[in-house]
Formats: sequence, structure tokens, C-alpha cells
Amino acid sequence: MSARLVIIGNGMAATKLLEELVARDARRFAITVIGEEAAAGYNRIMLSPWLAGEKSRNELITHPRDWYQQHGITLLSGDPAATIDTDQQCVMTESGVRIEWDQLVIATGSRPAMLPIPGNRLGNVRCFRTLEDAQQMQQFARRGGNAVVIGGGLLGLEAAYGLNRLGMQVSVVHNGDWLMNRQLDEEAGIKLAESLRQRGIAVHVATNSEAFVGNNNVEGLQLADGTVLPCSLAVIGIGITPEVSLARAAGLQCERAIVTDTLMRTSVESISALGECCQISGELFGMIAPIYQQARVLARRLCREETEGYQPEVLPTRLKVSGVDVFSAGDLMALDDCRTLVWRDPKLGHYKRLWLRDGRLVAAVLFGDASDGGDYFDLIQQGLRVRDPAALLFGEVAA
Amino acid sequence: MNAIVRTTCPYCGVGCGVNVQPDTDPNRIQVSGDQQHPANFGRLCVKGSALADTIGTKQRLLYPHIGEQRVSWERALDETATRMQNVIREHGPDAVAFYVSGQLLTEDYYVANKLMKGFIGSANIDTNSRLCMSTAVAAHKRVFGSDTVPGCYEDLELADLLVITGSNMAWTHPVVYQRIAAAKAARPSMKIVVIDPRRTATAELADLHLQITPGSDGYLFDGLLAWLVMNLAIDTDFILKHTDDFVATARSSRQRSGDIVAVAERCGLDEQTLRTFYHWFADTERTVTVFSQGINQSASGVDKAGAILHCHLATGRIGKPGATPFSITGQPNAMGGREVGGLANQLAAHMDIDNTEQRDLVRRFWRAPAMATRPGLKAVNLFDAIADGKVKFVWIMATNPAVSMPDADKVRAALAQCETVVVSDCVADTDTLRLAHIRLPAAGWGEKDGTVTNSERRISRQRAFLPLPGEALPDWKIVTDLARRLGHAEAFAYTCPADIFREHAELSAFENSGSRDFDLSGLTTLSNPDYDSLVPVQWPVREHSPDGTSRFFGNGHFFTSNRRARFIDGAPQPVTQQCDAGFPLMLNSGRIRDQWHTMTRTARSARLLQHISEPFIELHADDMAEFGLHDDDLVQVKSRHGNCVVRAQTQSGQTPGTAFMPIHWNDVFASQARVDALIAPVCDPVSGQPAFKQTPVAIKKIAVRWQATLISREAMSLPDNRYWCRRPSNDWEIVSLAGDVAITIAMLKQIWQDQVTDWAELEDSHGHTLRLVGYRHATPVCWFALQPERPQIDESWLLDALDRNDLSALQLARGVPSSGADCSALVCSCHQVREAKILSAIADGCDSVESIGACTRAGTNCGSCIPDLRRLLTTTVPEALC
Repeated sequence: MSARLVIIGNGMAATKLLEELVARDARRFAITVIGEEAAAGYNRIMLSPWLAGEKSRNELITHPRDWYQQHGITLLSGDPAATIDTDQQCVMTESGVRIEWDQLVIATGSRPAMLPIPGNRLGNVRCFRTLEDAQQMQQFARRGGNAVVIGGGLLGLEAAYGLNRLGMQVSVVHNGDWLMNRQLDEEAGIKLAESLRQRGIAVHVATNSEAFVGNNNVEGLQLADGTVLPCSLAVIGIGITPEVSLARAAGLQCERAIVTDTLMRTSVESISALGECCQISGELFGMIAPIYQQARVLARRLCREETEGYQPEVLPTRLKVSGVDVFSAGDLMALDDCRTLVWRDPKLGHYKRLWLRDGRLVAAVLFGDASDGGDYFDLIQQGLRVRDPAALLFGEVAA
Repeated sequence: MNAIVRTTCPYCGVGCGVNVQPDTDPNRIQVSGDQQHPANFGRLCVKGSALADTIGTKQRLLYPHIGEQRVSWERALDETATRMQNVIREHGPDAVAFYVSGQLLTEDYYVANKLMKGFIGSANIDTNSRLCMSTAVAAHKRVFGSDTVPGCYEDLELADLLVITGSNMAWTHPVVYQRIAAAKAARPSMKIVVIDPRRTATAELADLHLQITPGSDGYLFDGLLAWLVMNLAIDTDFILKHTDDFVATARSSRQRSGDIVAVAERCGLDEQTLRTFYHWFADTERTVTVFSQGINQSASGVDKAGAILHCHLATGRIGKPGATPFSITGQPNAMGGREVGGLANQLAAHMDIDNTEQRDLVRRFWRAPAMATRPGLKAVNLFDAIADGKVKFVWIMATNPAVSMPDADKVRAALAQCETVVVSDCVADTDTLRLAHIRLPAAGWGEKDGTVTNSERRISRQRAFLPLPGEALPDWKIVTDLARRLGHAEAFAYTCPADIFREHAELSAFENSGSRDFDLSGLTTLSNPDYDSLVPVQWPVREHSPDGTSRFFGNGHFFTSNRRARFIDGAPQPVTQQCDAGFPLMLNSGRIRDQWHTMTRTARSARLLQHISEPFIELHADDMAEFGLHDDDLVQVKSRHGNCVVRAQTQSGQTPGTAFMPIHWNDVFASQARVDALIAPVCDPVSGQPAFKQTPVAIKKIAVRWQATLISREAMSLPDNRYWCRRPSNDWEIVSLAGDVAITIAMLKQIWQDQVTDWAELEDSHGHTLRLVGYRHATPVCWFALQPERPQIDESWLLDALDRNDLSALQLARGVPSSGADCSALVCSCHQVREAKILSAIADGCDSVESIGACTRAGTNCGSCIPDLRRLLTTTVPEALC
């Protein structure tokens, strides 16, 4: 009989892994997937456009239940895993089902970071993470009124834009000095704030949140300076924390997340981890591309194929807020010694900034027109010397 | 459709006939060569072809001004007359002066000369012809007894040996050069010798180029005379019949220049080359020697020109078809000026101010109340006298001495502190106008009527086809209006140029009867309609030769007292200023192909500024290396008299130790490029013509932090004046800049805030690169690029894009179209063909000027670039042959 493979988690990392396995040899393993969410596999990235009404629910679902059946995969959804027994090599679910494995994969992903301030348990204080979160926000938004989004990063802004599109009066509260301060330079951050304001979204940067106020349901967010932003919905989008409680309880080596090598092996021989819940040489993951790469690596290893393991890579960011074309590539946290070239065209609202270190492009931020983003990203990857930086700014990337 | 107007080109001394198709819309006026005109038979050079670009009222002086105040003509001329009279009353007539121009028409020239020499009573009228032709005048008069050019253009075509010395006529007299090229093509046996320290475009046609040591041409021709004598290659019969003092002159020539080895050494030539030239000269009956500024602009120019005339007298080769010396003039009416006596040491109608009878003759003819009795001040002395306060009133007509005089900074200073400077000109801004107390608007080409005389003594009409702009008046009218105010209404009661021409002709005929070369007795009774329809004719025009006269002296009859030519012994002189450690390079100066004089008119044509758009100094590659220079580097050129800042260029035509700079740029067009500020005021003692051709200079690279290009609809203030050069291009002005002060975008936006409402910008944290596109509301009005090296832009594309305004600021800021552009040198101005295109045509197998023309159209209009095409052909090996 074929080896028993159990996967805890049914997020995008898990479904990608399943595809990779299926593509190789569906019958090699008897696969069981334990999913916490009720839904089958869906594209989490699509939640924002869906929330904003730009995508239909069907477009969201990537792996309907019958997909699992077709490939002989057992899907337990809505019955989360409770414990892992590494000696017995079995998983217990909350409802008490006992599932034995020869190979276990932990793909529990992450949970939205909680904002540790008073009132964060009040009603209508939500995170924006799951399809259910999105559905509830959508229903709520139909009533209109004021919403506050805490967090001016990708996730927060996408939520804010969605709610704004659904007709709510949205305020974004961000503790960084400017929006998306990890991906954008200050000037671009300011332009982003301007364009959001033009869409009717209020933006408060360099602002700390003190407390959610209200009785049962949230009625406002109190800021550091004492002012209260009234709201009937508060969305927390300040980031994610890897979901490692099961692994930790099972005694796997964990730091910020489950410590994993580049072949996705944990500290326990027969247990692998991937995605937002794993940590490779100190690095955590939130973007989809590296997670898909991890899924490929793991699939090859499980199928005993050659693989040189996971290769970390810089990744570009595109803000998926239609109308605001924003692109960022390279590590903006370490650019002090760089030469920067800026193009500003206020009439068109275009802004470009390139960073070069000893003649090589190391980072780029585009605002308003991100059409050259891909080329700049490639150039950063290739690390080639740039003959004429000005020409580069003019889009002559093949310089 | 209006009828064609037949007129004459206002540029060089060739005097080409131009057909103008007039139009009410100045932009639709078309010019073409006049097929019938005997100077050009339909040809035009690039400057002539671009004449239509230079007309119009933009940047013209349209109204009289006193100081900055616009005033009426009445007021302006009253003021001029009063100031003039006051100076004369207090300091006498020699305290006033006119400085006029070979750009004036004969009629303008005549009245100015008449007023000064006959009615004001001073001979203080000199002309910019002093700077180009006075040496030829003096040499002609010393040897022939008259200022007579013995031959004509046809002789240059008929010659079996054509010697071109001191002339880059391929660029300065292109149409005559093309006639020669055509003649040689038709008759390849015709030999051409070019004598020039530079290998110029003219030398492309030469069978033999004598690249002599600068200034050694006197030795070359003195040596030639000696050699001809020693080899009995002389026409004893002609010498005995028609000349004096041959023996003495021949003897001293032989003594000092009889050793060909020494002469060759002196001239920096190898003996065999020199021998070849001497042999050719000796053996070729039909020999013509054409000479111009290389001979004239010398401290011993009169002796040099004399030496050339000697060689032709000794061989009897003068005034015969295909055998003559031929002085080719620089300006369109240098000859007309000589005819009316526009030089301070002349009188009128080729008569002498020192000659009592002739003075009396002219006095009687003019009924002159106050004849000048002695020569006036020649140009250099005139401006010295202004500097010394001896001359307190000067009226400058149609010329720009603050740029064109030697030691030009001193001249500028002299004018700056002169009591009264009156300037009449057709343009609004020149270095000289900036120094004027009274500015008078003069009519320009196409607006005035009159005659000019070209290098072969041919009188042609300039005809008006445009209305007078603003309140501008023809110069003759301005002068006569002033004369009336000075109380000479009767003597200046002319109603039209024809009146003046008739009087001019009558004076030439007055008591002449063949005693004087200049004789228009056949034209004295010309009616106004006859004058209007006057066909080009070579003087003298006498009753028995109503259609003019092509040649003089074929059988003697010179205009000395005994009708015999005189050999005037003059030892060749070394150049007055030698190079030394402090000033190691010998600088030559001259014209470029597409510009004229101080650019007041040619700079109005965008295409004429594309062939060469910035002032430069040309050096041999060895010197470039020695001074650590690369092409386009900015250098300071320093002489004992002044400084210039220009771009260095490698020029294979230079010999090591020599340099060349153009004469054209000035303070209106560049920060510091007036070559004449470098030139010492050293003159030929006889002619008073300055030595512009040999100036020792030092050269030093100028370190600049950045170079920039500014393109704007209106003039904008510049962030740094270290170096700038501006040129108009239709609705735009293009400025090339360079400097060391750090420039920031904020700084630029600040100084340009009044002209620009919106900016698009490229900013560089290291300040290396900077670009700005400025909009006034939605329209682009300004484009700026700054970087460490000169910005490379595709100018025609960019200007077009700025006009169309259909591209994004980012696309504009690139300066070149996305599909790479051709920024190579423009070779053919007429058809806008660039070097890269020509080189690829050659690579594709074009092996002749004709095939290049067929394939690219280059050189098929005016032909001025044909020497450049030849150069490209000879310096390029088609890939097929590699």
C-alpha cells in the first residue's frame, strides 16, 4: 500500500503542494488534508479584489471539493488539527479523529497579528485574512457608515480600498511615517496617501492607536493624541504571525516560526513545513512566489527527485489597488549609500525613483506608471552595471 | 504669382545673381540662382540658398533710438547733426569720422564718402574693406598705377595652371570654386596648386598642395621670381615694352631668394615639391594666380601681393585669357567701395586724395565747399584716435567693429568712452549697437535698391522685393537726410539711387578720356527705367565698349604716369609676432562654410548653424595630445591681447604648432569667442590692413563640472556664464552651456519661474544628471539637460516634438526618439544629410560624389559640401574592399 501523507492546512501553500504532487504521481501517496476553514481551496490574494467587488466568488475558488475527489485526496475541512504525536506518527483533530502518517507536512500558515490594545475584543473589530473575514466585512459594509483600518501596509490598504468601494467612509491609521514604509520611499508614500485621499479615504500616518472604544460593538478608535475616530467597523491589517502552536506543542524546533532547512525538513525526520509557518535561515515568508517555490521543492523531495532546495529571492511589490499603480522592488531598508535618480511629472502624476550602488540597480519605486517595473526587477536580479543611469530612468532598460 | 525679381547675393565678393520669387508671406519667398548671371550661371552656395531664411522683421532694428528711447527720424537726425556740428565747431572736421562697410551698396557708399570728403572737409571715412582688400588695392596701385583687377572669373576656368593662394575658396567663395571644379572635371589636364598652411576643403581639388609655414608666402613668390629669372622663363618683350625697374627688382630677388633650397626650407616645403611648382609655373603660359586674405591680411601683405603681380608681369601673363593675377574680394561690394573711394586714403572714382589735380577735379565736380586735403585715419588708427579722444563723433554703418577689428577689446573700450557713437544697422542687437548712443534702422537685403560690384569688376543690381520694415530707411536716404541738416541740401538732392548712380558714373567720366581705369562714361545717361533693368556689366563701360570690358593690361597701357607697370622691390618679411614658450601655437583665423562675418544675418537661418554650431579652435592631433585635449573640450585661448573660450577640435588639415579659429562668433552669440580680441593691431605699413592670419597663442583646458543644453521659446537667464553659446532655431533658442558652479533643480526653477508654470524633472542625488521640461500651462516652453559630458540630443526630432507637443514629458526629456537617432555631424545643409548616412552610403558602395548624391541627395543642391563628401570618400574604405 502507498505511503500515508498528511497535510495540516489547506491554504495556498497546501493546495500548491497538492498540485505539484498530483502532477508527479497522484497514487504514490494516500493524501489527507486537514483544513481549518470550511471552504475548499481558494486564492487568498484575490480576497481584496473580491471584497472590492472586482472579482466574483467563483473566480476565488481554486480547488473545489470535487477536485480533491478526482485526485483521490481526502479533505477534512472545518475540523482543525488539535495535536501532533511525533512518536505515534499521528494527528488528532478537535473532533477526535486520529490520522496516522508516514510523512507529515505542516502548512498552517499564519494568523493576522493582533493589535494588543484595549477593546480589541469588541464586536466588529476584525482582521482581514480569511474568506470568512472578507464575507463578513462585505455584508457589514453594505450598511455604510464609518470604518477604520489599522495598518497602512499592503493588506491594510487593500482592505481600506475594498471598504471604500463598498461605500464606507474609511480612515487608515498607520504608525509608520508614511504608507507602505517597507516598500516605498517617503515621497512615493506621500503621493500614495494623496491619491487615497482623492478617493475619499482619510489617511493618518505616524499615528499610534490607543484603544478601541465602545460597549459591545466598537464605536471608535482612540488615537495617541486623544482624538477618537468614530467607526462601526474596525479592521486590523498590521501583518501576520506564523501559526506554529501545533508544531511547538509537538516539540518541533521553533523560533519565530518552524525552523526548516532549504529542503523544507523540520527538526523531526518525517515532518516537513512550508509557507508562512516556516522559517528558513532566519527568514519568514508572506509573499506567494517563494511559498510556491517551497511547494515545488518539497514535492520533488517527497517524490525523491533531485532538488537543490529553496533559493531565497528579492521580490517586487505591486499594490493591487486599481487606479493607483504602485511598484516596488529591492530592499528599501538598506539604501543609505546609494545614488538615486528621480523622475517627477506632476502633470501626469508620475513618479519614479531608482537606487544604484556602484553602477548597479538595487531598488526601484514606481508610482503612477509601473509599466517598466518588470524590466527594473529583472535588472536588479541580474545585477548588471548600468551604462547610462539617466537612460535607465527613461525606460531604456536594455542599457 | 508675382514676377521673379532678379537681384544679387549680399554675401561674398563673387556677387552671384539671385532670382527671388516674392510672396506676401515672407515664409513662402523662394530664392534660386540666376541662370543668366555671368558670375554664377544659376549656381548658389549654401548661404545664398538660405537667403530666404534671413529675411523678415524678427530681431530687426525697426525704429530710431536715442539711448533706450525710441524717437522719430526727425529727432534722431537732428540730434545726430547737432552733435556732429558741435564737435566740428569745437574740434574741427577731423574730430568726426564715418566707419562704413563693404555691405553698403555703391550708392550708399558714394553719398557717405562725398559728404565726409567734400562737405565736412575730413577724409576720416574708412571701411571694413580696410580689413580685407586694402592690401590688394595698395599693391595694384603701386604696380599698375591703379586699383585694377586685370582679369575675370572666366580666366580661372581657362587657365592650364591655377594657383590659389591664401584662400579657402571652397568655403569662402563656393560658387567660383565650383566653376573651377567643373572646369577641371571637363579638362583634367588643368593643374591646380593650393598654397595654404592648412589643408582646407579647397585643397581637395589640388594637384599640388604647398602646406607652407604660416606667413612664408612672400618668400615663396620672391623665390619664384628669382627662379623664373634664373631659368629665363620670362617674357622679355613684355617687360621691356610695358614695365619699369625690372632689372633692379630681379637682381635683389635673385640675391636674397635665388637659392631654392633655402627658399624651400624657409617655406617649410621639401625642395622637390617647390621645384615642381616653379616648373609648372614656368612652363604654363595660361597661369592664373588667385589671391585673397591669406596674402592681404599680413603685416607685409602689399609686398606679398606685389611679388605675385611681379611674377605675372615678368611672364607677361596679365589680362590675357587664362593668364592673369586675380585678387578675389571678401565682401559683396568691396569693389564698389573702392570705386567710390570709401577708403580714407582714396578720394573718389579711383582718384587719389594726395593728387592735387585730382582733388581739384573732384572739388569742381562736386562743387565741394570743404574738400579734404589729406588722407584720413585708416581703421586701426581711427579707433586709436577714438580711444585717445581725438575723434569724438563716429558714425558706424552696416558693420560690427567691436567684433571684427584687431585688438577688439580695445576697440570696444574706445567706443564705450567715445562722446557720440551713431550706429545704423538692419538688426536689433550687435556688439557694436550695444555701444551706440544713437541707433538708426537701416534697410536690409531685399528692401533696398542699388548696385554692387563683384571681384571681376562686374556691376550688378540689388533690387528690392520687400516693403521697408518699421521705419527703416536705405542708408543713402539716411545720409542725405543728415547732409541736408548740415546745410548741403542742394548737393544731396537725390530722389532715388539712380540719381546717385548717374552722378557716380559722371564723376568717373569727368575729364577722364582714358586716363583713369574706372570709367562708366557709357552709363552716365542711364534713365531710371534703364537703371532698374541694368544687366550685370564689367567696368570700364565706355562709348566704344558699352557692354563692358573683361580684361585690362593684355597689351600694357597701365595707369602710371608713363603707362608702364612698376616692379617695386620689397624684401619678404618674417611674421611680426613669433611664437615662444609662453605662446607656442600660431593661430590663423578665417571664415567657415555656412556663416557670414559676425552672424547678424546668417544666424537667422537655423540650417546654417547646423554644419558648425559652436565656436572652436582646430589643432593637429599631436598638439591635442600634448595639451591633453579631446574633441569638444573647452579651452581658453590666450594671446598677448585677449582671451577666448571655445571648443577644441582635432583637424588633420592643421600642421603641428598651428591652430585655426573662425571669425564669426561674438558676444551676442557666445560668452567669449571674439577671435579678434586675440589679434594684435599690427598692420601693413602701406595699406594699413591688419595681420589677422598669424597670432601666437597659448591654450589651456578649462575644467568644467557640467555641460548642458537649454532649449527655450524665449531667451532665459543662464545659471552660469563660464561658457555659453546661443543660436536661434526658428521659434526656439538653443543654448549650449558649461560651468563649475553646482546647479540644483530648485535653483533653476527659481530663476525661470516667470516663464514656466509646470515642470517635469529628473533629479540625481549625485548631481551628475539633471533634466527639466518646462511648460507654460499646457505648452512646452523650455527643455534643459545637464550632465558631466555634452548632452547628446537629436535636435531636429526634439524641436519637432516640442512643437507638436504630443509626447509625454518623459519622452521629451530623453532628448532622442526611442528608436535611436542620428546625432552625427550635418554635412549637407541644403538636404539635411548627416555624416552617418553618407558613410553608410559609401559602405553600400557609393564611390563618387555623384553616386552619394544620387543615393542621399547630399551635395546635389548648392554643392558647398562636395569637398566634405570627397574627404569622406577618401578617408573611408567601403566594407566591400576590406
